[in-house]
Amino acid sequence: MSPREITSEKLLQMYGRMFRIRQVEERLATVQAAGELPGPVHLYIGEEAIAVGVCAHLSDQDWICSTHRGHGHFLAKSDEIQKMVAEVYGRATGVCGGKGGSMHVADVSKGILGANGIVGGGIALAAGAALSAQTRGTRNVAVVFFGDGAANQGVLFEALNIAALWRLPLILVCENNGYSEFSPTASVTSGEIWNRATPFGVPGRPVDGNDVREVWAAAGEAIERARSGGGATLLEMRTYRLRGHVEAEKSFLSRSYRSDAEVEQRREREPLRLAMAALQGAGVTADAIAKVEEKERAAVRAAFEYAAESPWPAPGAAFEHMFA
Amino acid sequence: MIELKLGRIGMNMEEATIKAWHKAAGDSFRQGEPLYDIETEKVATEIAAPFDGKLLEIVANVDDSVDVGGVVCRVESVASPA
Repeated sequence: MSPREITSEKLLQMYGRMFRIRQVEERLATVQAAGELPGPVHLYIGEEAIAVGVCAHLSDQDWICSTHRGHGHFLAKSDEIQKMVAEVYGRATGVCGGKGGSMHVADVSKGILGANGIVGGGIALAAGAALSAQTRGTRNVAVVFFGDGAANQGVLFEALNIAALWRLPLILVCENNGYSEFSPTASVTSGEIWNRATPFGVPGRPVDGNDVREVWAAAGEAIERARSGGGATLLEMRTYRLRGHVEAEKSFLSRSYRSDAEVEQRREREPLRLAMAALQGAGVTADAIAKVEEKERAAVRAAFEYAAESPWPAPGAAFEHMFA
Repeated sequence: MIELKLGRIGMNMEEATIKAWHKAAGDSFRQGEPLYDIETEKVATEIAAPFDGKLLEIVANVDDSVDVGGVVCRVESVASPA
């Protein structure tokens, strides 16, 4: 698949979804600083092209597993902005009844097996989901998003091994944003992450994770191969996190781990900016783009109003959904 | 009018003590400017303004202890662009 195959309609649609995620995350940053959220939040700002470019190929019957930085994955795969924002607010109207919060947004009915507070925790779950899809004879796939830090968890190698042996319809999407929490990736990770697939005979490749067209093309090829029985792929999406590892981190870090100048410099190639340039290059009018942005802004504003006005879970709800 | 509440800046934080105010009622502030200082069991830190606005009323004074989620001050927001 080539990035050139994307129609301008598809590109505008993906831009709109990236814009939606950015709006949600920026508002979450503000309400977090105002003390409205009950727990820590890890924002996806700067990485939107990955979730959107990958999930553009998936249906509700395909599975995704996500990370502690999971809002973008949820919003790329589901239209339920209100339920997700209400979950981050910890309200009863949230997608998990307000009991999961930011790091556990999940909706099985949409194929979202959930964000995950455990680093690398989604990798084995996705391998299991891929095995389920294969065993049931479907053409569905499982995608796992994980960070560069999680690439050093042993479970990645276990999953690659079994996915290669059984030709599982599994797409391993590493979001390499340059920092494993507060450590530069190169200081904790040896070699190239994409190349960790090679010894298992699984195709691996690096992708420009800030260019939604490149993500869309690489993911499309990997997902199509998985659907037709060709097995797993490891995609290393190279990106950059424009916010901290976690909001309010400056209040507890004794020194900073990157310079403001570096962040500003990386902003020049941030995904919304690149997608906007691509839209203009494809001849999409400023009017058409503004219309999409306004619609997304209104939907996000409404979702935050809904969340802030929603009730807290009843105390008795703490004892529900404890056992499967 | 918007109530600014004490956020949880560390996983185990339950409360904090207000150590200083950098603004007085009636003062304007810009996003990112220090509003007040807190001290918890683990850290002493500044809390920055989440948006451009004006301080209407200080609810938690210096040396007051505030629970996470408790109201620290009341403010108004100046034209948020989003």
